Amino acid sequence: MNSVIKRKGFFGSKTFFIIASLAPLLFFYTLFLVVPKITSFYYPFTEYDGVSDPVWIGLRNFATIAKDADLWDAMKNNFFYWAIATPINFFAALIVAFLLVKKPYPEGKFYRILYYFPAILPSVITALMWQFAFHGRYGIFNALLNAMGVNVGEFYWLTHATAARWALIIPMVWGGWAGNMLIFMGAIQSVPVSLYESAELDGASDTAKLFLITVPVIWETMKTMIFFSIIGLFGAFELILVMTNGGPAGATEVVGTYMYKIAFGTEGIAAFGYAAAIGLILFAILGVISIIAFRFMDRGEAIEMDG
Amino acid sequence: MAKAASTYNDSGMVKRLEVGDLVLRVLLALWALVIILPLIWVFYTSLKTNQEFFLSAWKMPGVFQWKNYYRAWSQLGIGKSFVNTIILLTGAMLLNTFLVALGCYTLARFDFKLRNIIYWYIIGSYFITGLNTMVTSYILMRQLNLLNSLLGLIVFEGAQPIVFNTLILTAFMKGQPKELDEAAYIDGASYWQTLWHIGLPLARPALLTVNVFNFMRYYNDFIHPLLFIRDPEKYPLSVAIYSMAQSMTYRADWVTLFSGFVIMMIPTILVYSLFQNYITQNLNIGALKG
Repeated sequence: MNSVIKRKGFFGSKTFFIIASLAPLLFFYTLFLVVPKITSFYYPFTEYDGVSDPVWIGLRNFATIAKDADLWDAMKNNFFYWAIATPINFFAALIVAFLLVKKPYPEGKFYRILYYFPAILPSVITALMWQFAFHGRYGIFNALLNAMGVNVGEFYWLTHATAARWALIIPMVWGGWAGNMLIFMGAIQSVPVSLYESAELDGASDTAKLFLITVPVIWETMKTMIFFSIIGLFGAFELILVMTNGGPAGATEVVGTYMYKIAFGTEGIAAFGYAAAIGLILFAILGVISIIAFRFMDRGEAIEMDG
Repeated sequence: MAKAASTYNDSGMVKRLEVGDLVLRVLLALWALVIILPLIWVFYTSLKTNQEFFLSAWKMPGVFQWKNYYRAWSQLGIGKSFVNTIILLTGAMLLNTFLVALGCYTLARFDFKLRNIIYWYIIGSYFITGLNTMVTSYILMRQLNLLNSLLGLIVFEGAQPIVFNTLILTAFMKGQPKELDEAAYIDGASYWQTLWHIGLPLARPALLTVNVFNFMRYYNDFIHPLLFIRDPEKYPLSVAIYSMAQSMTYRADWVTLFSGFVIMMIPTILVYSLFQNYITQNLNIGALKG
């Protein structure tokens, strides 16, 4: 095949094309995505205020981290939100996805569109909307509760430590599980109906038993989703930053907001090195958890195959 | 063997509904209410006067105060930030599409020695996540002198979705038939011509999906403009609305703020209604792969 009719010289060659087409992608990728990740292993060992040059201080940041009570309190909050919101997001998504795929409710099609809507709203809007909804005097939350007979008067949800901590779960869940729901819907749709039919013949008329068929079949998908939700352990950040900024007095502080304040807060000198060190600790924690989770989940699979 | 009467219809759904379903439907309806209620509250509040607002949360507006919207747009910076958002989104979407369309075409259609290494080089960084890079990205942007500029933000944002989009596009492009390409080569087309006239048009559905996702990501992005932009003049919508809300602590012009919320929600609603099938379609691809 004479394939060089018009392609002359180096610039028409395949090599040039490959290089030229990949170069921009690789350049931008490396510069803006790889470099920050690599330097996140360097700055933790420095003291850097953003103005003077970074100073190498070895492990000193980590010594400070070990003694930083505020940081560990923030981590407790992360764990709190993760432990509560994640199961809700997961199971609500699974159950609703199952219903929307398997039950011919006429309103089902409408729900598919409506339920996903909060997930696509800008998180700023969700956060601000709920922040004002929780307002003691003018917010819709209290208005609704009072109208339903739960007399909360003018309780300012976001200025009381415990109330704020729990109240934030509502917007987290409000916008949170629809993404999972869509993924589950896709996975459930690919489960062969014949499996359900045979279960019916065996007398499994219970919806719960249908559950026991669905879950094993979509287990691969679920594994990926569990993995991503584990990585999201320290992710709750933007919503909290906007709604309470960690307040009142650190009651809703999470690691993200804490890092943000250390690096960019207005409380004096920026401490990029220390903030980066926190980030590195998070990475290490997540790494360990991921490995444990993987081992655990794979072992479960092996047992199933043997039995 | 004749198939026993199935309890499932052709769409895989159960044929009969039972009493338990009534309870479930009520619960689903309740959740729908939980979603709709705050949104409706924001909307009808945006049309009230502040006095009406302070009177009662439930009261419907008397006369619709459309001037709240005008005030939010022209006096409180929403209009200006909307323009900034348009600039930011256009620039970032164009840049990212250019980068991934070009690169993924080559990754998907050509076999060369470094191909797998490059592909995994790109996909591999998915494992290091966001919080770590918040600080180091800022440091980098500062070192590159890209802070406080929409152009800098465009360049940064253009790079962000590369990993995810590479995944989608490469997978899609791999599935496209190669015969058209080869026919083009035989006819003497250059690689560039083939890319432009055949490769890209074939990839149109995937490119559209990628851009819908990019739109959502960029439009909703709050933390990066917050970090990188200092001048309120250059704020995109997300940060502008935030700063507007913060000023409400002493301004108390809530109805105008709420109209700002609605303004910001409108493009999202538009894009969602137009493209929601693309969104659901693409997540299915992800589910099947997993």
